Amino acid sequence: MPIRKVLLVDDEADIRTIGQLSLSRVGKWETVLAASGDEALMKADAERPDLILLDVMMPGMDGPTTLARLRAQASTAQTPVIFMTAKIQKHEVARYLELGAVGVIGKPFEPLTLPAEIKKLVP
Amino acid sequence: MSRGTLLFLEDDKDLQTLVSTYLRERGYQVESARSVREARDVLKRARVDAAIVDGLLPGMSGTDYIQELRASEPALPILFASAFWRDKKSHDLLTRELKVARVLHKPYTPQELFVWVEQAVKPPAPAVPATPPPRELSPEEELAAAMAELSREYGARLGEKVQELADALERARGGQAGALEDAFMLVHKLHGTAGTYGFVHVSAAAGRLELQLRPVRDGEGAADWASLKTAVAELGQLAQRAVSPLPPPLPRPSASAASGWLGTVLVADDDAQWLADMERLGRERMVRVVTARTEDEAVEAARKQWLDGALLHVDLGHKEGGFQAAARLRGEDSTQSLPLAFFGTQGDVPYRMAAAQAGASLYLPRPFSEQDLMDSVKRMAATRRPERSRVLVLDDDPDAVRALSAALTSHQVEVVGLGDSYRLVEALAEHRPDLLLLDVEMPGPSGFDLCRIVRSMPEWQSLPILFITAHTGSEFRVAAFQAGADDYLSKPVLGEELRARVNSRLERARLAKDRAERDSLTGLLLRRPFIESLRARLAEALRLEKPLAVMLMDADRFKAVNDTYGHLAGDRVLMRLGRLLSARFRKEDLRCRWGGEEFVVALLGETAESAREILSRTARELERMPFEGDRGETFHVTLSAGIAVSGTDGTQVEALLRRADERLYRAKQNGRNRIEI
Repeated sequence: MPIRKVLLVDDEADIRTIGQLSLSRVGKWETVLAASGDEALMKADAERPDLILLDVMMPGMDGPTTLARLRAQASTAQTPVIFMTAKIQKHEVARYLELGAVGVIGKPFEPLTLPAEIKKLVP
Repeated sequence: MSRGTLLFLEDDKDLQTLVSTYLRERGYQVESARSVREARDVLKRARVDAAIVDGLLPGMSGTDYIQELRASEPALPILFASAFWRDKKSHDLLTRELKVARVLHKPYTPQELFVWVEQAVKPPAPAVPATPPPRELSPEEELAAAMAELSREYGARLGEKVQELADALERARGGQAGALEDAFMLVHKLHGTAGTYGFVHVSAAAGRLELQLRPVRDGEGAADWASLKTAVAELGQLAQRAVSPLPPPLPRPSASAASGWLGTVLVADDDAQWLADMERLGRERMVRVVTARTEDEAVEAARKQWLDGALLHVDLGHKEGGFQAAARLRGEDSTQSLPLAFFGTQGDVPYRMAAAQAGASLYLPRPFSEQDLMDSVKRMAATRRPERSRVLVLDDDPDAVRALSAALTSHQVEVVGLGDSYRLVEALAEHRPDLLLLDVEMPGPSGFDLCRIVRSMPEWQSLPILFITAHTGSEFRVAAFQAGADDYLSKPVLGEELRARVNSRLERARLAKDRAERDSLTGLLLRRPFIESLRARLAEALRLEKPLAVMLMDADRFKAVNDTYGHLAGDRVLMRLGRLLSARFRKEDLRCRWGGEEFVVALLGETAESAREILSRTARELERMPFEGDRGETFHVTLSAGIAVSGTDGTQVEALLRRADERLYRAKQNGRNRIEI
């Protein structure tokens, strides 16, 4: 399925800023932003993105918990999710994939090639 | 209509007449004065719009007169003509204290004077930035500009972020609840975010601190406050450096050259999983890894982007398929001299020789470590780097330097910015640019002055120099060419035009160099530049205590080829042989057309035996090549060679060449089509 709209979830404003630049200008995708797990659940339901990029470590509801809640919500049960995290050790990657993510992208990411990385994970 | 009235105080009669005539023709009323007394008289009867004052006047120095003039005419624009070179201090004295609009260095031309008079009389137009206007930007440039702006903003806040982190750690040390968690989150964010904004060193340092903090935060270990404090201080220093006035290069306009990358390498292997690991490893170590799973993909990838080198699996696709891929890469114009490395599980000697003949600088036995990868990438990138052209930009406005650098920087062009015109001569020696971009109007010596200085240095007489200026009049153009510039660009400079002009100049300079140094038929170095490079290579070999093999070769019975198949056929043989030698061996090996049908190749790090093995592969390749005679007949050619090796055969270029020649003669005596060592 072609990607048209992406939801980027990260509690850090700087990542949302550069992420939006990368996703919209390089990837040419409509980009929706959320700053927390709660906001992600609402925005995902309202906007129906084709893909969700989810930060792992967030205060309050963390990435894995948010993913579980997205899966429980009918409108987002099938939406592909990619985790973004600054710690990508093998066992952690495996755990995120078990949780149902389609892939994991390491931070720091390269804004100019992020969309290409995403396309590799979501063919 | 008069453009204005000028007081022209100059005691040299000829110059006075010449320049006055020129200025009058261009619409100025010129009041000539040959002494200070005459100048005073002029000012008593006339109102002037500007004054030109010579530095050496009979009876009174120009500086003293300007001082006197300032008492009655505090705002009069004054141009000061100096026969001496003015250093920074006296420049500052003239411009700051005496409010001199421009210091002209003699000899100046009438056109040049006119340019500065125009500027002094007319209120200066608002400075036009060199930044291309937004709608002229390509989407790529726009993106690069947006990224650069974001990076700059983020960089400006880095210091605060580190301070916040230091504060949180301090509170945590004092036992405040939650402070440790705050500190951990802050450092975790820095780790993840700073790198994305291009501050890779800050990101890496934050990553190390994160590792140090994690066990403390998870209650698995006690905090070592002293070492944490040191780590934060280091982080602070890195953050500071990242935002110093001239920041590290901006993200470059082309997508594959963002700042901070060590280089781009192509890795070709059948194993997709392993390629994915290499990509990840590359990301961690700041190497851009482009992957290919087949020979075709490798060639395709190399056509699409700049590569610093390629790592090829020896058995790509099938046994020894990597050599085939290498031959195809070496056959492409753009990758003819691409540094190559092979890897494979076979580590035996024949494989290594085959790899060297195919152009590999390195043979890595697999599995190889991260360090091996990094070393090979660095080595390949360093080998390829001299191919990039360097442009030196001299402009006192750092924004202009940044904009020009963002517009010009590419895989083929590297830009060095310079803000202080007094450092130009030093900068030329240090950076050895291939082209100079000069702003005309700068505090201190003008672009014209600098251009003349550069042209007066024998070494830089043919350096392409382009002016960047807000002036457009024909007088300016004439003054620019008189000063020795090759071209000029008007502000605002558009990205496309700038690139086109700079690239065409660079290309022409490169062609001129090639013409002077390379043989037109074979494309190989001529004897003199070859010997110069060989001397340097030999000195390096001796210093590293590595052998250097000098291989002198000669096409067998070449006279007979010319006589039997025609001279055109003979030329084709030389051309094909030249091409074969360029495409084989490593990028860093030296190749030369020695003269006639003789060629020399120097291989660093090879012994006589290994060099013979490597060359004999090329000789066999030549033997198999069919050539066509002038009447359509087919024939074949062989070569004979003699090899000498540094150390055992001598430590001087001349001695090595002599020994190689003796052995070549022996090879001929012993029946040709053979290599003697």
